[in-house]
Amino acid sequence: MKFIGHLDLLRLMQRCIKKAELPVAYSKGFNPHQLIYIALPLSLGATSEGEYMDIELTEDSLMTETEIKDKLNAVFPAGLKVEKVSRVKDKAKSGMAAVDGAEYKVFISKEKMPVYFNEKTEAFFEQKEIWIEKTGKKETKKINIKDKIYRYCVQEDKDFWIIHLLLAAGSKDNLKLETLIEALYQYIALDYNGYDIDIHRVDIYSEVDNQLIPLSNL
Amino acid sequence: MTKLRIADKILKQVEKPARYIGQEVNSVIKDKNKVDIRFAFCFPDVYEVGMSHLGMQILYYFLNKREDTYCERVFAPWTDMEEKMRENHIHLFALESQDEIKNFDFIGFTLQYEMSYTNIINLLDLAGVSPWSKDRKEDDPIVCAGGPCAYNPEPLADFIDFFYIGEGEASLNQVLDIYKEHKKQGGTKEAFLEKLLDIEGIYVPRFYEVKYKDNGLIESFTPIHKKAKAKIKKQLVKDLDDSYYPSKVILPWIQTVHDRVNLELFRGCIRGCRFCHAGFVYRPVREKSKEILIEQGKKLLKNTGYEEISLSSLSTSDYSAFKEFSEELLETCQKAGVNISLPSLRIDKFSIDLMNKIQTVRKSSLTFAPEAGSQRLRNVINKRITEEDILKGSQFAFEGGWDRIKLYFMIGLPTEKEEDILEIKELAYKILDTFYSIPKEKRARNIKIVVSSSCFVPKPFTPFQWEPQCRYEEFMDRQNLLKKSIKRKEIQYNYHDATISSLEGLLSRGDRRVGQVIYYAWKYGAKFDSWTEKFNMAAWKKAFELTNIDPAFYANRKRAYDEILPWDHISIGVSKAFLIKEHQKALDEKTTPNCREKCAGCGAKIFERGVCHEIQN
Repeated sequence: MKFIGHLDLLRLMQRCIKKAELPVAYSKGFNPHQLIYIALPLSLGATSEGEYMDIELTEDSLMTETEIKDKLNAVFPAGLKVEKVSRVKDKAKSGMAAVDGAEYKVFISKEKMPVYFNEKTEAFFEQKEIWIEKTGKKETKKINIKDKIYRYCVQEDKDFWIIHLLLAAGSKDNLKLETLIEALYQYIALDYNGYDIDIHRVDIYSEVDNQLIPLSNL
Repeated sequence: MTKLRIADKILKQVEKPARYIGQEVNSVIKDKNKVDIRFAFCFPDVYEVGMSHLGMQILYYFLNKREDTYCERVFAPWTDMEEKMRENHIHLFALESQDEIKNFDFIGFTLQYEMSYTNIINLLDLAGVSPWSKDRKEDDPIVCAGGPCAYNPEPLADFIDFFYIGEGEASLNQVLDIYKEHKKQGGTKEAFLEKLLDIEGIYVPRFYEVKYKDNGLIESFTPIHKKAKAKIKKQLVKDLDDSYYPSKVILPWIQTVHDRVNLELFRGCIRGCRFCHAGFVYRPVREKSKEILIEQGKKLLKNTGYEEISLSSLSTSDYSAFKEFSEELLETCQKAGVNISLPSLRIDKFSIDLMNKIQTVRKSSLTFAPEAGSQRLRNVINKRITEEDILKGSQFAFEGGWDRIKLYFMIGLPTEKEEDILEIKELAYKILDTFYSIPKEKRARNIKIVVSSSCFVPKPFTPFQWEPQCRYEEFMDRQNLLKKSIKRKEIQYNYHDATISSLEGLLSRGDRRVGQVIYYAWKYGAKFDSWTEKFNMAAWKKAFELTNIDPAFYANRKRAYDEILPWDHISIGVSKAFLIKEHQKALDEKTTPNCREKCAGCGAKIFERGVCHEIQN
């Protein structure tokens, strides 16, 4: 599934929901489409065990959560699985609106890395401010991304360095994982190509009373 | 899950990696140890083009219905992936099992357009086998091909071990049965190909010899094996209701050109437009019953989750029960929340009303294909639509709120003169006047007319198979003439560079010698010739020089009726005498009624079914 882009995944979901005969609601207007929303797009090439999707059902629908889960799993292709379905009454608590953070594991092969990788990475994250250049349409801005990194930790494995990260995500504040990794590589003076690392999303979080909790626990 | 042939690291570096991973919803996965025949079904273009093709989806399930056969899909890797594959010594693989097709029993190509020929050579090379039939080894796969371009198999004769002429559902099973038996008993490839000589519709080029005269014309074309048939007869499905049609299709990972359910109403076309290859090679018209169609539509929608259904046939509104069928389909689809898209309709009041009923979306543009600007030239090509029909149709459309009309024409049709071209402009102007003649409150505010022209390519098995094609300069001059003549700002004119059409003119009526050109053009870098941005004319020019083949001999030469044509050993059921008669009528500017009005005696009656017999009943 990791090679299916966000829009293609959305199209696939539409097919699967229709195939599973879920009582999905449609938009009004000239070109009705299913009211489904993926909480936070995942980059092409990344894997995940913590994705969320909102499906708006028709008002009179009586289908149970288990039924919905089983019906979708019966039509999904290999590599795609529904873990849990829960009814959300309040739209404000829907997946897309609730996203505040995302947790990742980044796997970096040790093979090509200098011995000081660990040390330098620690130093990178320990900086008081982390400035990156953001190229917009008109001008290039410098922004400090330090306060968008909520948590980090570097772990050593047999073949990989694994960087655990919890980053700002969603409509209020957002840090693209790739941007951060690129800044890290630049700091260590390494070339970043985007295909030598593996990205895995662990979960997506929402902020409740100053605490980040997984969307599934809302 | 199946292990991918291509490493993640490479997939992350190419465009649209989903082209190479397989495992889509509704794809077929089999245990490869439990099958006798591995069949690689190759569409010689990129994934999203091939996956739009209905014929491939039909044959995919048709072959996989056999428990002893595992049919898998292969597409042409895009150039970025090809580069990585060559760099890393990765052979061409099939999507389902991700296994190298080099070890399969069959590699089968579907020949949909001539401009994919260099891709065929490229795919064989990427697979790790020789493109030349004579150079492939005993344990290499058997390479076969079929599809509309196989009706003139000669340009590919030296690359393909056998051609299947006609519709696959008819006797592909017989071929596989013979192969299975042959494989069990053991025997050479040559011996298997000899056994195929017993089956109608199979053409094995190596058992025929071509001799040429000094002037380059074919002197003789003779079987050199005692069992090789002098005429290869097209195979077709006699009863479409009984014929296999899949109840599902593979859902492509990425957006394709036709991303929807396709219903095939009928095969063939009653119209007999004289330029149209499909209109002759798919004769006779054979329809599916309304009940079967509705049932197939329902099943396909259920098994795919698509929310759009399209009717695909050569001229949809010629379906004999079209009114009843469309009403029933409309009802079914409205209940299921499914949109209908209607291509190739004749524009009359009924069609416009129907489109008004089904249009839930914004009114898109309406398309007419008059093909020629003047009535004289429309008579020549037997496109029996009058100016009045077109103007009436436009008026209905404008009154129904449409504000965009597309008009398709061909440039370079036989007997075309300057006046004919200028009449294209006249016709567009008249449509524009029709729009303005409607009171403002009854039509849209603005109007846009898009005139497009393509360059005519004479095709085998049409009445124009003897005609010379225009040269490149002639095509461009004529298009420029039209371009300059169109002055009204509501009309947009799109035309094309004639280079690719000129090359298509060579390939479509080529003989065996043309295979050398295809091979060397590929060798010098030609591939994806139908993709303007990849087209490499320099490679073709070098190939002409090296092989000493003059493209004009094939494209721009007028043939005599008694000349041996490279495809004369293929029989499509329509007789040469009929094609000559039609050609004569074309030159006399006389039309021929359609199959339902009056049988013209083309010869397709020998197939015992279809429209030829429906009239007599």
